[in-house]
Amino acid sequence: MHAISTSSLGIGTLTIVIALMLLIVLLPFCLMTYYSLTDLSFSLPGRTGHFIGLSNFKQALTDSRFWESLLLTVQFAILAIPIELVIGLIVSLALPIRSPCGRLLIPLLVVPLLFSGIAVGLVWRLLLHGDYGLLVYYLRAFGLIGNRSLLGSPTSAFACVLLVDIWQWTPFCAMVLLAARTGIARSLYNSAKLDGAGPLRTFFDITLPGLRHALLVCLLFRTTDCLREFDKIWALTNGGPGTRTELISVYLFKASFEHGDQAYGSALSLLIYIVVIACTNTFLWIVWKKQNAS
Amino acid sequence: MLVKMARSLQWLLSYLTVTMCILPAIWLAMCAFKTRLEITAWPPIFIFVPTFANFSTLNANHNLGLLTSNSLIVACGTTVFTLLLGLPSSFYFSRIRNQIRQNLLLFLLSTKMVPLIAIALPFYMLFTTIGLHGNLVGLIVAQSVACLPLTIWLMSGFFADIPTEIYWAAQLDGLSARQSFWYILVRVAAPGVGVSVIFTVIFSWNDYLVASILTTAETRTLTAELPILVTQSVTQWGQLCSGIILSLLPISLLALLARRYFIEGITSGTLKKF
Amino acid sequence: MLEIKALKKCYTTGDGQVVALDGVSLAISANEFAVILGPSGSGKSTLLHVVAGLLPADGGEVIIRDNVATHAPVSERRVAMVLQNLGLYPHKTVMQNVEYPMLVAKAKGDERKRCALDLLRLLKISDLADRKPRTLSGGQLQRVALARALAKKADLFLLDEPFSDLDAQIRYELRNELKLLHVSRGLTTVLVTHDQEDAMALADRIALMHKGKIIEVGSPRRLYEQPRTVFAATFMGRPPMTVFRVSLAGRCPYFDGSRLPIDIADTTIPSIEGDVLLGLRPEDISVVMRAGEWCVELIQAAGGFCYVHLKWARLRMVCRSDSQTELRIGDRVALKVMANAHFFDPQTEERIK
Repeated sequence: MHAISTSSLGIGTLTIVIALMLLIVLLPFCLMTYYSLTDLSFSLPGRTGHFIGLSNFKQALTDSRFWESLLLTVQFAILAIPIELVIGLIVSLALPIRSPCGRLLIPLLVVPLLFSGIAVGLVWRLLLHGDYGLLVYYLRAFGLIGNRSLLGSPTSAFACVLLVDIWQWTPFCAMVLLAARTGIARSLYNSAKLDGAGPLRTFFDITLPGLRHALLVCLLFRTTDCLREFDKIWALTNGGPGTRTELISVYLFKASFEHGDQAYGSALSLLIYIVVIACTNTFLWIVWKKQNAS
Repeated sequence: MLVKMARSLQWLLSYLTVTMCILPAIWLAMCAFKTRLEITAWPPIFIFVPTFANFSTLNANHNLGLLTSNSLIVACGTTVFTLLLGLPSSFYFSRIRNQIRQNLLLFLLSTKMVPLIAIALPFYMLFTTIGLHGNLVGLIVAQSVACLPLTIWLMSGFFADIPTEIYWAAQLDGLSARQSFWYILVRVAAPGVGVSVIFTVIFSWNDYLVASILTTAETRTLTAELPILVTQSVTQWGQLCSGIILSLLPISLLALLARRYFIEGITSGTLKKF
Repeated sequence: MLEIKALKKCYTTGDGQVVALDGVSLAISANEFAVILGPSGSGKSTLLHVVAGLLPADGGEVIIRDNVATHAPVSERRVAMVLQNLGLYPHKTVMQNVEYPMLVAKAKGDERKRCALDLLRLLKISDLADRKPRTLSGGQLQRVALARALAKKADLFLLDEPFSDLDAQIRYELRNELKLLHVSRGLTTVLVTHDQEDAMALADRIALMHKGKIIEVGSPRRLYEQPRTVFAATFMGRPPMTVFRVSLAGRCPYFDGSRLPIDIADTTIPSIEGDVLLGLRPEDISVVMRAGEWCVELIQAAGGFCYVHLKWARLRMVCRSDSQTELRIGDRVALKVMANAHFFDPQTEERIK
């Protein structure tokens, strides 16, 4: 039997993994790029995939719905992520870890993470339903909102989507930060106490730096997820009313599958992908530079 | 005095957050046992006679047994496949020199950046060409590809912390390199493996996009079936709630079983690697 | 039992190629206690890892008990090793750790337990049987690692710097126990260390390594009393031998133009002319009388002796003396060589016959 050399264990599986990635992710990506340069459509007549160069991209640049959708997604990210991080931070600091009470509370934080994206959207669709939603009833009872439907009204639909996202992901941030917080050495806090530092000082000088890595992790995860957010929005509002909650993934879906213009959808997808890669690379480059400098 | 106020504020916030977290789940559970009239009642009803009607209707209209077993098979298959490929890879990864590692890591993570909608069509066509469409194996492979980057990233951190000497000692004790990896190293990295398993199972079970693209009626998973209950005209809330509850059951069971180990992981500071 | 032929091993680091082993050859017979001694970075640990199969060789051969084992996997080499980092299984108790090699060898449960308990008793850690490694001290961990290595039926018993993290007292105890184990169990042991005291105390033969090459091989006594190279001469012994350049003219050593003010017997000085390297050990020199050219700079107490540091012109020397000495700092004394002086060729750094 051919023996595995001690230092090369895992190289075989790593090769398989990379091959799978190339096949299942990269190949479709290349195919998509090819489509974006054609006029392929499976439902529109006479569109059998002739090469049309960059026409799709030109169309995209003047597609106001596309840009609005992109803007909406950015707004979504800019609003949701900081709120999730801040609330997550506060909660992670407030939760009593070692008491038996903490042992009961902390697992309950996991509940939102057990739901599938679809389920989250559907449950909140019920809770926020204009005619019989539980939350709507109490919000109206306290006079906070009028008689209009929350999900059906252009102004509040976006807020609803934000709310649902915050509900779903704040516990995740809280737990990552909680795990990181317990990893900060006790001795640091003791030194701070000896130096006479108050609670605010301790927070900014010891807790926050110790959580830096965890905060970055949360940030990275949430940002990449925002652009791919589909299940939840689809189940909650379908992108409506109109296009008021049409985040970019939803528009991509509609462009490709509902309008049936696969080539155009591919072009849009490619543009999005370029944007994502550019952003994350810049982000990682900044982080990497900071790490190397310190 | 101020400290006391701050402390009570802390408690208030904690309870508030936890309440917000479980409220939708509680309401969902209640609605699963209500009749349609009770669900759509205004003001909302809290006292009612629970009934299993939703569950039986759901089972009558959709083959729950098949759906659940599909989901189960796929979740288990994805976990096993991901671990089989991911664990040795992340071990090798944890021992590579830095430069190549950075690049490989970026490559792996970048595959997670692509919105799946973007490549949905070519994805569908690829799998149809290979013959893995409408096939649970194809779904397992596709979901594993989605889970592998995170697993490798997570586990390579854990493996990097385990001294190579343990791996060597196991071989000196007489195990082959492969055996010493699977019997000893994986056991020592158990906390990380546990986290990976939980993430993979939850991801696979709750996945909608990949499952809806790659499955047909016979191979559909539970989660992929749910949105069918939402139609243009009428939403079958009762069946929907019961369906979601059923879908949540196995996951909740898993979370319950892993509860103690999970709390220990968070509160002991060992998960900070993640 | 073990034969190493022209072993080569290279590493690629960020700065290029590093040669860890440069054609190392060595033969060790059965039941021998061999020590590979050398400073950090000399390649001695690498050598042990290659013999065990943990690192692949880039050239040369490893032959264990007449079987070529150069490319054999670790588990097939019949080698037991105590790694520097120990590598104890953190999730197993001490007892389980020690039993493990026997478990892998498919020994029966009762037999396993009996053997393991014997070993624990032998290494004086019977009371630690149910403890986990993370609750143990350095010395205790070392004993567990030894017990585990001994639990394996092996042709070779390898140890990589087993005493490096221990405090002096425990180091001394363990060292003696190790030698007794070697003798009582009839092992063939190869130990790697940078500490020449350990080497002297334990070895039947010492192989001195430096920069990936074996410099000298010999018994501890021979290496100490008749070193063939300057490297061996200065490495063995603490405080080290003082080696310095002199000019010989008519069997008279001159340093910096002046005659060396040390009384050395004529017959021990080689009859060549020109530059040589002269080496003198502290215990071979003694202070003869007051009123000389050497100035006492420092007096260091060391158990039953004291070491006197002296200076003359640009030369510094260490001399061993009774702890009862009446010497004071600033005294001027004369020196005499009581035993043989060592002479080396300045180019080859080898002993002059």
